[in-house]
Amino acid sequence: MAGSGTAQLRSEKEALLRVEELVVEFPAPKGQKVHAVSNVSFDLVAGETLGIVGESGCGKSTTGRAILQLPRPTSGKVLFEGVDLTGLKGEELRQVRPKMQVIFQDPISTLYPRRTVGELVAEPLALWRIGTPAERTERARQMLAEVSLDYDDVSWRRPYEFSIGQCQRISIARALVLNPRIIVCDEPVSALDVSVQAQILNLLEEMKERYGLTMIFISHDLAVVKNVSDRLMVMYLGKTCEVAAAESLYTAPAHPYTRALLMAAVVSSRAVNRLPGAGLGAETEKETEMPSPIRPPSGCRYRTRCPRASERCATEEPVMRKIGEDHFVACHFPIRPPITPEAKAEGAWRGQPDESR
Amino acid sequence: MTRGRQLRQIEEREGQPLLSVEDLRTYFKTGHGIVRSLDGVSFDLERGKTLAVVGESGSGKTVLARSVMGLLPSENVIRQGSVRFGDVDLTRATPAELRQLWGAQISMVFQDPVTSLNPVVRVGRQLTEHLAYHLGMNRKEARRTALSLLRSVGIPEPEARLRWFPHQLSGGMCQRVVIAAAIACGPKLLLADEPTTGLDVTVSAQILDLLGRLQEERYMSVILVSHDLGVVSGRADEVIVMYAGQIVEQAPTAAIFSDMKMPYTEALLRSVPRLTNQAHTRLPTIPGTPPNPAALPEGCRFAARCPYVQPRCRTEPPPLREAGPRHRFACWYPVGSPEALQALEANKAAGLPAAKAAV
Repeated sequence: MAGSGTAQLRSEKEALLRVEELVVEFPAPKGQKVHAVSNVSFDLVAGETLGIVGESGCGKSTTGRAILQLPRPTSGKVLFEGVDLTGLKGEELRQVRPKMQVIFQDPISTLYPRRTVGELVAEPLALWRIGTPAERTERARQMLAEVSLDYDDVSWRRPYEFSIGQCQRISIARALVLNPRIIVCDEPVSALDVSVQAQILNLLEEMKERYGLTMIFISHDLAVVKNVSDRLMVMYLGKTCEVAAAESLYTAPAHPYTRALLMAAVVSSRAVNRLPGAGLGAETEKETEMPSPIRPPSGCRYRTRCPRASERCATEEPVMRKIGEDHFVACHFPIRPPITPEAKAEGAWRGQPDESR
Repeated sequence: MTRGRQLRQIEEREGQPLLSVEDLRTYFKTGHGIVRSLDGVSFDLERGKTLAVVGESGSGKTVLARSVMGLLPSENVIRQGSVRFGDVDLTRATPAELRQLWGAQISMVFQDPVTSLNPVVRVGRQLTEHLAYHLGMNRKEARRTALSLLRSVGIPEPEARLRWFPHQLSGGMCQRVVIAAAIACGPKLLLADEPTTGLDVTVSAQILDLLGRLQEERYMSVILVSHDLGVVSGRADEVIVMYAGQIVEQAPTAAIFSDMKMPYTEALLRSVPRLTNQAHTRLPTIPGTPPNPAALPEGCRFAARCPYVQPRCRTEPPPLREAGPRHRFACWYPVGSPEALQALEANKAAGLPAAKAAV
């Protein structure tokens, strides 16, 4: 990981959103810089869901926000429908905003506590002066119904009266009310219980189908991401490790970091100790702490933890390269061959061992 | 420090569990009436075993941990039942007695490691404080012990870390320090309330491994509270599933996954997204929300959301029944039984939303 390069990008015409060599840096004390996102490139075709996974501090949320120009990236391009958003200013940028919406992790702090739910959902329409007040109410009613809330029942209540799952439904309704093209979901289910999480994930899937949404789904939970994504990008310390179609990333992780993440997810399930030695689990990470993004390691940024690191990794930064059908990795020593079919059949990577129940 | 010398050693009786909770009830008086957060919970825990407590938010799992520990507000609380820890009844212990047990015999690891440490006190003092209080160690001894504790929880460069403040440590490191503090005086029982929620997957796996290792080395009993069944699956000897303040199923870990009897356990397991799922899989959900704890339904508390629900469930609360060795459950129509299948078919035919969602 910890690589740059643009091999994973598809043709410019195909992509609805194309992010090229995105860099986000924040000032740190003593003239230093926090390298939050360094040279990340990816693209999204219409109707696709891209999952971004990684540990805290890997830059996944910053990437999501930089696409929305919140804040603006330090350098790089964000092409949305062929227009570079980083070049837009003021009113021009404002005109693009309704097409890109965001759903945050904590729905309670997302919703302004002193407004009623009816006002909250209709507010984007009012800001854009779309329709008459009566039409806006009608639209809010429709949106709330989409997320299984009854307008007459909820519109006069305020956010504190709702559970966290309901608040997340409200923020989804609010995000969709302007008919956006792209939704950035920043850990939308991390704060929720499993049962509520399942409801919200299903809802997002339904909305995606109904409105033909294109989604960026940011999460640290590999199982959640797998459930909703077509394509996945693994990030580490501001760099891209691996980009691949969901299925091939999970069955044949090529980057040592991807495998470490998968291992950790597997370890938190009970099938753990019965996984065959081959494939996953043959190597363990040397270190567990992520280095500081102020002074990231030279070469491959993952090398301080990587069990496969050699001298080359310290001097030469790996570049994204293609290793399979829609499978790209930035590593000098990617993992081959893939996990054995037995390991896959062993199944139950998370939670439940018995598929047949 | 003579206070530490008075430390009360609890007597363990031969053949008796270390912790025995009987018909524990914790009610809170609120503006909306009496909230029955914990409603008649009984279980035993033997020395050296791990018990996992799982359930949704509001199911009473945290209140259970706090009631066992005795960490409840002094006002507007109604407490009933008993918590026998060795030969002491914790529900009857005075605050002074509890203070001698806390940290020394029972300790707790809370969900948020960053806020459970004092932000203006260096790591070193947070570790040595109770070594001095409970064990009467002098500064040198305490420092030496603190260093070995930090090493045993896998913190690199422990000498330097003793001088650090909590904000200089990452979340995972903070949790290691909290665990080190919790085990410092060699407690017999460790309560871990969502110890890995909010931590990354990689870190979370390490913390759970650490807890498992320490438990074996020190022969502790552990109560692991979590909402994530995946977390507890490989780590616990037994699992308690809670719903609306009650135990709805208790079983050895393997049995919970392979032979669950309670429809709620089944639904909870099903709603976990799995790595083996195809992309865009619709997850089976549990429709509705848990009942209001201030106005609990008469019969089975899960009835309104249950795919197998029958008229009897709505009027008669099911008692905990035995299903096998150390396996108890509370349901009239246990999963896998012919009556349950019949009930499910009937509900599907009648168009019950819960039954449709369960397919």
